[in-house]
Amino acid sequence: MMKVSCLYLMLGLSTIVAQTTILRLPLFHGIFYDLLIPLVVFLSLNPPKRKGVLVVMILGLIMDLLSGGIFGIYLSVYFWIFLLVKSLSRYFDVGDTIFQSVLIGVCVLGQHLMFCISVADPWNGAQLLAAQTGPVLLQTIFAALTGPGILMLLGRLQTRFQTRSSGAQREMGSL
Amino acid sequence: MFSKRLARILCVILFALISIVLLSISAKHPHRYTIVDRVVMAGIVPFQEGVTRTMHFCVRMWDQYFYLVAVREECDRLKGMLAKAQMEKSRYLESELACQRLRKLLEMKSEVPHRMLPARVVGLDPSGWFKTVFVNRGTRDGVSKGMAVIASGGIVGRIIGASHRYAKVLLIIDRSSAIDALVQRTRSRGIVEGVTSESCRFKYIVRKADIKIEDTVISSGLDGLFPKGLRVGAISEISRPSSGLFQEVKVRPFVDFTRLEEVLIILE
Repeated sequence: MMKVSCLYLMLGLSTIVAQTTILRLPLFHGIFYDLLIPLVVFLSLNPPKRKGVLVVMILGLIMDLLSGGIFGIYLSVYFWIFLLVKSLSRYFDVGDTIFQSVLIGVCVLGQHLMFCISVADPWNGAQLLAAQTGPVLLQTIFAALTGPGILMLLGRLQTRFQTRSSGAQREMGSL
Repeated sequence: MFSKRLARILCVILFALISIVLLSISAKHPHRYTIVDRVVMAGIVPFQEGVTRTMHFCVRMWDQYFYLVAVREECDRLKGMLAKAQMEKSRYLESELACQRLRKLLEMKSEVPHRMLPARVVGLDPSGWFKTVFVNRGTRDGVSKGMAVIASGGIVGRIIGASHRYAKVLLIIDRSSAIDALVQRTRSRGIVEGVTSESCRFKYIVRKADIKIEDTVISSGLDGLFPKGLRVGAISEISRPSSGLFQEVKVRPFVDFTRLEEVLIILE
């Protein structure tokens, strides 16, 4: 389980590096949403759940350190997404693609809403919101379209990693 | 015995005569086209044609194969050369553009009487809501919190955190950024605050202040962060509400923050 946590941590760090460099280029027209959200959703839905929280907290902390926003905003957003998805998984079929699509879209929208609240003031807030409406909608739609695919990829990655790890453990045991 | 021998001689002579007669007849009609000719031709020539065509096809294929191999080799070689040339061209173009940018920075450096350190932008803020960048200079280079950062266009922002090798810069377009500034032409003072990527808000400009669109806004130097006289932006919008003490003014920054690559950190 420790290895799986490390894998997600590495994956998260790679994503952070990508989305603070390549994915923020004007070439992409701000279409890329926070790609850590599908990872947080996945960690919330799949084991290791307790260690998953730790991974989510570490990633949130790193994002807060890199971001120019209020310290702790990413940490809070990721933590609440983690809890929300975990709670919803009790009542809904989390394997359903449409549900996953809506869920990730809502999470991305929620994150933007949190950011908006954190930066808003009576004068700046309206202008900033007007400037951000287009990118926010674009990112939400893109998240809803690509989110289930990312979750599926993460699921496959975890299965493969666990199969390989258990195989290696069996070999070690036989030796 | 004798009669047999005589018979053979007679046969030879007869054959010779027949041959001569037939050749004579044939010589008299040199291009006679008989039915036999036709039959033979109809039976044999198609095969000849087939064999000849196949042979020619093979010869042509053989020749062209070798020819094409040679052409292909030549083509690959030329493609390689073209790719190399394009890459070199791109590199030269990139060097030229970098040279232009650095020349502008150098001009800026000579204009500002302060010790400055060039830095490269290496990372951007993960969210579109907050406007910060990372530069490849840190405390080991003498960078510390609060230092002003400028580019060839004007003020970029200020350092809000520095590690050993890197520093985080808060851009002037971030909503938490503020610069004490004045209108260059009329010396009207106010505070420039970030709003969106394209514009800043110029606050506290009194209603009677004489300002116009495209007036240049510069730093006043009174905030203790930015030296006096650094270019901030140009006034892009002015509105005077029916009530209130101040005008609502928008400033378009001179720096293009979407294309920020090299900056100068003012060390003093």
